[in-house]
Amino acid sequence: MLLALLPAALAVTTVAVLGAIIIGALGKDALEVGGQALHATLLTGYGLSQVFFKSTPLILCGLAVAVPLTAGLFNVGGEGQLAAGGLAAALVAGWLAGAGAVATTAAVMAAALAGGAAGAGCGVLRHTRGVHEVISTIMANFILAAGCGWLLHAFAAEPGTSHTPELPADVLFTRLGSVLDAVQGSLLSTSLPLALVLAALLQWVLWRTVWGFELRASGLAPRAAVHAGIRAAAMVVGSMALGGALAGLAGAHFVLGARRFFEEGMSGGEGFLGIAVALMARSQPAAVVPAALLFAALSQAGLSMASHVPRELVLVLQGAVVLVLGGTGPLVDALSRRRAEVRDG
Amino acid sequence: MGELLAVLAGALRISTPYTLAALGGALSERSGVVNIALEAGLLMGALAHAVVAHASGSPWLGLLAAMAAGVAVMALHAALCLHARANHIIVAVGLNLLAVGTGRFALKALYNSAANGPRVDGFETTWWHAVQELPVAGTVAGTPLVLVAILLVPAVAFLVDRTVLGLRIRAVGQHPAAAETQGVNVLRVRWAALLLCGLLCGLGGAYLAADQHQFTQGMSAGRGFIAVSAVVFGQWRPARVWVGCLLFGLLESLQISLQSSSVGIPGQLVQMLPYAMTLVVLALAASRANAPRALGQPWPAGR
Repeated sequence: MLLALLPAALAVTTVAVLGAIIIGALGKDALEVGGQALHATLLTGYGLSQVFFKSTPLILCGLAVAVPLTAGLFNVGGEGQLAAGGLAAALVAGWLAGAGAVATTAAVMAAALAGGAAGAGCGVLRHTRGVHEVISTIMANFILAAGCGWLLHAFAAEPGTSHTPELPADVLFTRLGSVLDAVQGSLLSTSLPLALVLAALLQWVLWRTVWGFELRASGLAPRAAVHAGIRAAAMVVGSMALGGALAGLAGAHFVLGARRFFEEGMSGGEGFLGIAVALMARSQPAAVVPAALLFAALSQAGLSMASHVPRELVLVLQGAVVLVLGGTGPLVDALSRRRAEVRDG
Repeated sequence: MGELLAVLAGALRISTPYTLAALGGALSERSGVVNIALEAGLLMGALAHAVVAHASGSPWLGLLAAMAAGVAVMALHAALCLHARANHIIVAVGLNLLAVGTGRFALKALYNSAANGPRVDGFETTWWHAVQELPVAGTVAGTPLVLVAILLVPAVAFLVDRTVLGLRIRAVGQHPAAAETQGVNVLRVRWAALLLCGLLCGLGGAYLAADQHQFTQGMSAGRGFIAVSAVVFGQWRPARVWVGCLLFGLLESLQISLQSSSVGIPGQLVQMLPYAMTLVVLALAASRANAPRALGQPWPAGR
């Protein structure tokens, strides 16, 4: 249990130390600025609701990395899959405007399909042609960004704007505030419980189903898995498709739960941050949730100190956290292996 | 004829940062270190060039700073991958994120701008203007760094194929255990390859900032990733890698002339081409069969 918390502790320490140094270097009182940011983020209702709101796409993008990573595959294509999912959601919800929950459901499924297709394509390239998924997903990010931009401007944009027409309220995710008094007025919508349920479901799938076992086996020992009769094609393409679908859902969150329309550059790098989230969670779907909350809190804290220091500071700290998590990964792995050895005698 | 020359000259100019970064990437990967942090090297090089050239008024000091910044990025890469035995891809993702963040933070902190920094002078000096007066060479060359990049292709090829360091780089990328029994210090050779890679990325970044006469946020704009695909496209051999860079540059140059001649192909579709072409080329030709055999593996092996 303590070992599982080690990555988070390292991340928090990195943020605190590096953040204090940079804030200090800018001539500000790090304790005061940091204290105010912490208070505004974690001890006010608004701050907390924003943290949960921002964690929603991070949970989905973290899962989008964690699932393929279980099979030993790096999905760096979250940004592109997110854009594809967002555009699909906006188009479908727009066509079915007036159909209420049916439209919402269809739009969510379309987002998952679009993102999933993008992920599956990279999986197919990997399995049949040996194209490394890191390269193909990075290329797919650029191809999908340009492709979605073209589709948007050629067919889908509201005349005179650079986004799709604003969607009517009935097709959007339901605001949680309309059901729960405690979060009234916040931006939280049904996309948050959707993300939480998916995290729990995937935890169960990866650790309690045959497919999950096969996925983990092919990640730990690909050749042994093949010899045990596990079909590599199903693992590679399936996990990349599922990863892509999850990132696509993050796109649906932006369109149906935040913006009400699709536009280019919708995400603030959530697709890439998903990698950091999955690393901190050590690819455990359930642990993705607290990891996403931590990154969301960092981003919200950065926003709340924007009057003192540039909010771009958060971007620097995020990069540093990934480096620290990456650099200490082998050490944490070794520690957990040793503990397993001690436990198993 | 003049139009063709303009397209070719454009291709050469556009491919310059690709070439510089991809040569660095080839060196790094030949030594066994996966490098998708070329993007970070380019971006930090560009930032350092613009900041120092603006503060000092000298583009040449900016160039030095850019090389130092590229080296610093790759030194971090080396420290984490070679000594902390971190996953090369994770480290690169972190470096790329850190570079984007540092670029935007620096713009805000130094110039109070969200998008771009102040204007800096290019490398055009009196003697260079004389070169530009020449009939064909002048149109083609653009800025001195274009020429430097072209000259570096045979230089890096010579380094890899014909020098002791090159032999060692190939050896530690192919079979580090065998290299070690020959008395080669594996980690030191990989360090050398990564630092050279940083130097080259820094040059590429300086080219970007000098070419646009300023630093803009995220100005590397995926060029480091194109360079990565050129490395794979060229099967890790400097000359072939250069051909890949030229091809991507030519494609982009064609796109620009197509756009200005209003043939009616949407810009976004043409923008996809280099990336789509990379995928097609990788799918058709290049499995990683010719990749350095120890690519991505930590040293010493084992736990």
